[in-house]
Amino acid sequence: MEHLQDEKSALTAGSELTNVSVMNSSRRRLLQSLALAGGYGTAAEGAEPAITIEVLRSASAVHGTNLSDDRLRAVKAIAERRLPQLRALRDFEFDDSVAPTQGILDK
Amino acid sequence: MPASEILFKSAAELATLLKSRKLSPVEVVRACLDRIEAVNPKVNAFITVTGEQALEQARKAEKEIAAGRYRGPLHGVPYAPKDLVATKGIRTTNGSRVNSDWIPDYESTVTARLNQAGAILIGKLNLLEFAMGSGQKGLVGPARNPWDLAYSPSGSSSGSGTAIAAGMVPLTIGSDTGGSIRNPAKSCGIVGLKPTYGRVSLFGVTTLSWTLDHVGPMARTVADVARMLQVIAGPDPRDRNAATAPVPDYTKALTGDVKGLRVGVPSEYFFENVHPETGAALRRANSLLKQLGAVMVDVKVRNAALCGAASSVILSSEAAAFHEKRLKEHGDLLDPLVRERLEAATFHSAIDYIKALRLRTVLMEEMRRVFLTCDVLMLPSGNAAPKLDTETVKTDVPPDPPPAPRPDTYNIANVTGIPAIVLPCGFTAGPPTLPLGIQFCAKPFNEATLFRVGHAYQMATDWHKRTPPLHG
Repeated sequence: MEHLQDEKSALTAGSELTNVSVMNSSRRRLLQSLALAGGYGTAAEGAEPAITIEVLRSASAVHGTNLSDDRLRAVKAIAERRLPQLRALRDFEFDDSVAPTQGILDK
Repeated sequence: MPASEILFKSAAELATLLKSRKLSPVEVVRACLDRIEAVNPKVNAFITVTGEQALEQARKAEKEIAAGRYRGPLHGVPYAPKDLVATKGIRTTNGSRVNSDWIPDYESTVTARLNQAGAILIGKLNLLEFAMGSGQKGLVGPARNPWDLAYSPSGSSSGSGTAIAAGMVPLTIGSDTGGSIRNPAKSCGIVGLKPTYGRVSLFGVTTLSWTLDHVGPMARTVADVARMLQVIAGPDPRDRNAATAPVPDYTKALTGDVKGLRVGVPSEYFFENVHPETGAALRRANSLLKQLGAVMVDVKVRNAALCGAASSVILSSEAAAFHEKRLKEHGDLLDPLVRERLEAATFHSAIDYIKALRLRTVLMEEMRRVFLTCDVLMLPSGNAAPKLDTETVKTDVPPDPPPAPRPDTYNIANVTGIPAIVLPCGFTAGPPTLPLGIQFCAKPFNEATLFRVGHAYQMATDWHKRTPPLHG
């Protein structure tokens, strides 16, 4: 959470115009982090976020796992490899009648 | 009888000799223990050998059979489970340094039922750590393929495949969350069955994924696998997902007759990029089944290519939930690959997981539709075994060049819960000469149909009778 608090500080601190670009950048990063914290979701501003150590660090903080940078570097490679499959899953258009399967077979 | 004659007999052949007292369970167990001692240093299939207990059980079985108290076709026959199956009072490691000294105080349902049937536990088998590791950095290192020690037996039930192929034990138990029984069965040239979800209780089997896990039998012949399933299948109050559907007499399916059986062959996806040798073996199998009277039917499995995505999200999310505490407290003891996979899964969202479960619904409906037009579905079972050093997944360096995309032929059965069996259907020309496999799937709770087609195929071929050039 410390990282998010830093982001919040960056968003709320600030001396006007000199910090506009910082605010935009930080806000984008925060939104990306929050999107990622819920998976690798599409950023609120429309573009799919790149998976960076910084973004993973923020998401890890949101999850409470607080992985070290070494761990995040290891995770990043797997996250990137899994991304095409996740995209395929996300892009699948479901009929509204399709509910998730729970008890998987009639017994 | 010389040990060399005992080691590669099927369990059914052993049962005939044991029942008629032409062979003693003690002789069989001793032959297996000697073989394990001779070849385990080479193939690394067993993590634990329970020699004394096995001999004690063998002597007990010998007395019971002599007294006319024959329990059935597994009585006096040795078996070994993958070492993620809990065995009361016997170390169960999950192939992990985290559990290297765990001695359960309870018995899994599957081993309890085999023991009750008179089968004799002879040891515990190597595996990829928690059924998801690299195989290289687990508790005891990798099991090796008896057909060529430089090659992998595949995983995660690596020891279960190796032990049978190497003639160390006639029956084993594996677990299958994404092909972990069927892939080693193919790579080792034996038979492996992933039963219908819920057909066999998972009580006492360490979880990888609650909704994708299956436990099932492995052996040299379809008939042996059928007899094992007969014993281990059925309802279990200790597993709320265990099915209450009646267990049929599977031996009735072992007729050798497939006349009129409709074999569905997918026209898209599953056979793409299959190695030419695998493709040729599958075409020969197709022709043979036609000669035997089966009717080949073209089928299309819609959305099959998305199955891997659903499986990946469900499996890794459930595994991360199951291992959450272990990961936090003992992450440094885990195979690096296991650790990375679990940590990466913590970044999946609830929406991703729910979408994967919705996709599972779509795929289950699709399989119901497919099985309206055929009785079994014929699929490849991957290509021949990989070299051991190439099976390790490098998590920090992308493959260069990237491998050709290969269809996912295993996960469809895990995601939809349908039963699937793999049996040997040929060998590579070599060197090295490595087994090739064929896979059949059926409707839920229709394992008997798999046994029907598999047994007929084995009666008409001799691939399952070949033994690897492995000497003690």
